[in-house]
Amino acid sequence: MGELSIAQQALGLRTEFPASQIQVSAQALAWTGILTPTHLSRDYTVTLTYRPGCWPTVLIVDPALRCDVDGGIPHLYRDGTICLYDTNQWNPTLLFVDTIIPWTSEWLHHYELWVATGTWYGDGDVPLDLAPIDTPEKPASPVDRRPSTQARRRPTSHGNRRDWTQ
Amino acid sequence: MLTNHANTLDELLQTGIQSLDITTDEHALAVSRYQGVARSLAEYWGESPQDGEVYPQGSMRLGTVTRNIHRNDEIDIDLVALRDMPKTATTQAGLKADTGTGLTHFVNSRPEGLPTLGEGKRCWTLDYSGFHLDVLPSLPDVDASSDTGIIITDTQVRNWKYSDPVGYANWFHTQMEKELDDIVLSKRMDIASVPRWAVKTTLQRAVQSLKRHRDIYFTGHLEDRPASVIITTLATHAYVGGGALYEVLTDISRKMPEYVQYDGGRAVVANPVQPQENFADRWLEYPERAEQFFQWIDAASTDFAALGSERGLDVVLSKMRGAFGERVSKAAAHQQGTSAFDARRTGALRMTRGTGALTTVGAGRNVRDHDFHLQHRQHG
Repeated sequence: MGELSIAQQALGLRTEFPASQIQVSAQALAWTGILTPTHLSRDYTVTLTYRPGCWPTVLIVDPALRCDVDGGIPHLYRDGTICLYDTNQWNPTLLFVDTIIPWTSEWLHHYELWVATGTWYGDGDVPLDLAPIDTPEKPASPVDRRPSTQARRRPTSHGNRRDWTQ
Repeated sequence: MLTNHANTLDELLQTGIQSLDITTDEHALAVSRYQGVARSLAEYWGESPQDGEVYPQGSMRLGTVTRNIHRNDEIDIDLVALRDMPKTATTQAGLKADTGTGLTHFVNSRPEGLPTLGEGKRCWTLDYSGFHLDVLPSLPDVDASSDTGIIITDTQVRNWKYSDPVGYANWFHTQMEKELDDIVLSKRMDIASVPRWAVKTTLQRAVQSLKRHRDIYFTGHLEDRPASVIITTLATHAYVGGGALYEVLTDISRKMPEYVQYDGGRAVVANPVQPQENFADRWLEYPERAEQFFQWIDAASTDFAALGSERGLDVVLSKMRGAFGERVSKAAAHQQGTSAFDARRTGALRMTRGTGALTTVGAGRNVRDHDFHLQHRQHG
């Protein structure tokens, strides 16, 4: 199967998200949609930007993402776009609606769990540790969050517009 | 991971409250230990095992054991030590003291777990590492219409008190029998291999939730907290059957106050199978506790309703932590996160059209597996 065109990607996006907005030209696609990972989750406004020959990138526009006490968020590039895949996991023969978009919804799902617990479950291998946590004198505070040992923040060692063909 | 608001919230609550259960190993250990107590007391009383017995009452019998947040989430088990003798042959103080002597012999025999012995108002307590067995001395109530009625000791009361913990447990189980049968059927459980006590109904989970909320609410003044049997009785009266856990919790916590009865200005929560037993008898002696009960159940009702009022899993989990403690919210988050990861890895994850909601049970596009980070060196 050959590379998908911008028009083919746009059609996939319109089919799955008829209420979303898409701007296309011969050289670029910009999609803005709302994703709600679970029915208890918030509605997130998300943009996907793509130019053929470059990696697609995703930005969470609204609501603003919350950092941990060190100012970090897991799986987020310095430019604010989110890290969704390894280099061999996306290529232009794959539809965004089968990859980037659901991966974004997943990212948001795990993000909300990370805000609550400090743990990024999306990388797997998280043992359940229920050793006595609560202390009798002070019931757990709702704002008490421990820093993550699982989450990895990925500073860019490469530009997010690196040509994927190289 | 399910597809609608009510189900996701229910899933979080079920998983979270489940973390308060006694484990299978702990259950076996508890049984082994109280059977050891039973053998020792029977020997001490010079009776055959049929003439005196030790059996569980309270939460272990009801299936509502809830780890004790004020004791490092340890397990409390309530036992009845039934001495088969007429009440004319002893006094309350005499029975209690004699049971204490018997238990001292038990402790001195250095049984498994090496417990120590402490004394409470009504009970003796055997303290093990991670476990506490409360032993309530009692005699058969030969005048009761029920053949499981007992009379029990209380250092603060002149007359013997009436009780019927076995009858009470039977009443409780009857209220949830239909749902229990449905669960066993729907999950195709082999009831010979799955112990009945391990199957939890919504009513049992609701009682556990209420007890946990109570324990946190009364931190610092535990002596004022309403007895578990009061909570269990009122919750059972308020339960109409059916509904998911969130719906049941909000509904019964709102209605429970209506089931407190009044008799000449005295609050009454009668034992449904032994009307002479008023579970709220301590409120006569401590009238402020009645008001504290009503304040607490109102706060619980508000907190439960709030669980479903806002969006954001982090917000919901934070409210669960406030209501039930970090153990519960952590267990719930862990189940959500790991099941989502597993679903992706096994190809079971789908994305719903229009919202991007992730599901494993509804229709949607299959989600390809991926990692959230770079593992390979960037080319070029």
